[in-house]
Amino acid sequence: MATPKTGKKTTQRKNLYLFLTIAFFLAIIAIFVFDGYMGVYGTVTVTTQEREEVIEPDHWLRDDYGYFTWTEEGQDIYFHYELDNRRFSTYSADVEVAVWFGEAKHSDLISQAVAIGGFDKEELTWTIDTDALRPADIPEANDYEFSVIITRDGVERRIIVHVSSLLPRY
Amino acid sequence: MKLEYVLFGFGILFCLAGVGYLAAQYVSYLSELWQLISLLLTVGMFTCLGKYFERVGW
Repeated sequence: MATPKTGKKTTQRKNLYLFLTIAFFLAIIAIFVFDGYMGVYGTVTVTTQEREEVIEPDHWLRDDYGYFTWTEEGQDIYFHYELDNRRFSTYSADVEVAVWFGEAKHSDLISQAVAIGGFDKEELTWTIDTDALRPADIPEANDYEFSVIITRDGVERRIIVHVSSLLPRY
Repeated sequence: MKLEYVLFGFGILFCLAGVGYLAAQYVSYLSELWQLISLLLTVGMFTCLGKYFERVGW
């Protein structure tokens, strides 16, 4: 027969397992939150005309094909690329930005190595003048598209820009 | 009465399946090290839960 002392001990042991279960569960949730926060995140902001579009890092998880935006011919497009290093160590990578027409590279915009300290940020900006981009074989009354491809760590992020012609179409 | 238990069982099953599905979706974005740690913690959690129910007298 259990004495009150051993009964108390058994209850304590029983509660210990319950507390351990809760602790393990909370630890798993904490890992989800912690690992979700940690990492290197790239956010692109595209500004053209009176419009600002922010391409969040998780956009590329949903849509691997690319991000689509548009502007009118003659407008400048401003790109702001923010790299957020949420790690304890320094993050080093080569960042390349280029304009592509289909499978043909048109021009390099940025090609530089970045080294970002732990929990620090790096910002890259560039501007594209759509007046200077029109391919010679596309009539001026036609719209055209090009891609801005950002390559970091061998991973490509494609932003497709549709440029509307201002000339009337007949 | 028994039907209630069956429905209750289905409810628990669907809840567990839903939570399991969400967890599996989320775990796919974790790095391999954290996946391993999460797995070990899950094993520990169910072990302790089993021990708790054993002590309770289930």
